[in-house]
Amino acid sequence: MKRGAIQSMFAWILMIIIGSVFILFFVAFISNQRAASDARIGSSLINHVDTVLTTTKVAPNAFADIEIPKAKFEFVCEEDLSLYQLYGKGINKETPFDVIFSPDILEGRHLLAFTRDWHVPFKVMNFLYVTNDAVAYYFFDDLDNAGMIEDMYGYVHDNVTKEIINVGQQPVNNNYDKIRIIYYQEYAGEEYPLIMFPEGEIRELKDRQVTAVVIRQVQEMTDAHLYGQVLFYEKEGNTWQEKGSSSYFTTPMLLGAIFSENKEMYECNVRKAFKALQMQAWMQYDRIARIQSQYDDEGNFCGALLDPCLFMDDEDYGAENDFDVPDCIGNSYHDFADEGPTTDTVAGLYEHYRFVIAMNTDLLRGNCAVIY
Amino acid sequence: MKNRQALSSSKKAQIKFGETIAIVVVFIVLVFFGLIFFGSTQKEGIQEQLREKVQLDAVSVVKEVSNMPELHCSIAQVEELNCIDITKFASFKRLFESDIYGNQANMSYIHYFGDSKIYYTQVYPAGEPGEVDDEGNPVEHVLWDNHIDENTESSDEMQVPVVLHNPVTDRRAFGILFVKVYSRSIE
Repeated sequence: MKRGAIQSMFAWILMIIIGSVFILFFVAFISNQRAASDARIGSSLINHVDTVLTTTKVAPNAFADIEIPKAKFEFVCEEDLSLYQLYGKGINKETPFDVIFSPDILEGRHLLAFTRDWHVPFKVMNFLYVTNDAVAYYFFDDLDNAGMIEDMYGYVHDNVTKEIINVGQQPVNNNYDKIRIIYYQEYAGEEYPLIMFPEGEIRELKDRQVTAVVIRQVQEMTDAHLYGQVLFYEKEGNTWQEKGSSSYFTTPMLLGAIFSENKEMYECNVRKAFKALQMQAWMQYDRIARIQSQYDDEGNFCGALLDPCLFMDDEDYGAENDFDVPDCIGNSYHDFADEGPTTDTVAGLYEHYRFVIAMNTDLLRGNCAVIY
Repeated sequence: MKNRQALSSSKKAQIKFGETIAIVVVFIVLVFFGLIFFGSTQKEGIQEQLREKVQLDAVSVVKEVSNMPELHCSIAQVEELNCIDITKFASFKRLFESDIYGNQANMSYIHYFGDSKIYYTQVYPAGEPGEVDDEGNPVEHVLWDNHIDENTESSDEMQVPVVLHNPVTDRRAFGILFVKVYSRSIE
């Protein structure tokens, strides 16, 4: 072969190698930019949702209709992991301390969020409820529920898809992704009647699309608005299958059970609320013990009206102080919050709730510093 | 003669090859400058986004602090807007220093306050004992100060006028709540 031909061939090979390197470089660059752009869009969507949820959650009784490009959001609440994320994209926002009651997956162009504040009776925090227009909430009114079903229906924000189902009516399926049915059972001793699965088109839906929550009065004379039991059910064929029970304290927490996907997600959020309550109990104890000490030093009768032991006992307080530490006996808000949502703890919380209301009323009458 | 021709054709080929290399080098240099320009544009965009985020975070922290039940004044069971109960403020501050709940509280509230400084000063009545330092400046009552390191940018200080209420003496004063958010700068 001639030298010129070899050189020409060599030049061509060199050009091909360099060209390939450039093409590979630009392909990698473009695909990198594309991945970055996807991440940026996902991240700005999560940031947008986060900004609206943050703004919503700080105000009591607030509502937000968040318009989003069609997306699938997943809400997770487990013992060591709490977040919401764009499903399958790996872009998330951690929510280790926010109480967000929601279904596990929400898909669509809207997210609906509203808040209710949780008082015990002093305010602890706002609960956030997130859903969308593809989830329907049906409240079964069997006329024997002391107004509980109507009250809970009214407590859900009006922009949420909800309906009261009277005796003889059946829930309809307007192509909803999920249907949650809410029942109420008043106290019935040991044996509660079986919850019958509704007739009609709801039976044609897939099992995972239909769930129920039963609100149960735990004792004859108790007000189910204040505390009680909730049972979680899932559709299995044309019957209800019980998937566990839990307890609630006051209607915002009960509403949490109605909006939670299942018992596990509900209790995970309740534990977060109880952790916040424990810190509030610490602050209430610290504040009230100091105010009491100040009143006592001044010989002011208001000191005798205050009881810091309702909130926490002296051993759990464990901080340096310049006041006389009260000798506390018995359970406190702190202890109840430690035990989680059981029938006993919510009944105990209710007792303290009444004591604090009475104490606050006395403080108001005496023109003293109030608790809430 | 043949040798001379071969030599001249080899030189021509070398020149051509040199030209090719030169074109490739110039092309690489152009691509390199292009990437530097692209990178700097991207960096400016990111810095702008970061500045916006810091401002948004500051607004978000202000909203959080202004609406916290941990600080709210309660008058006859009604929450008063833009009012700080100074006894609650003091207990809230002590919570972060407590042995049992200090860690949990810091871990919880960093989620809301992040890298920021939150404090109030009393502006009226001015010059009260305990409210001014030795140089006559208003004392900063700091609730939270999480300054990640020296090389950080901060947002403009956001200021919210508040009522400061002492429920024991039922005394009211006027103050300003300050919120400053820090963020790492991009070099």
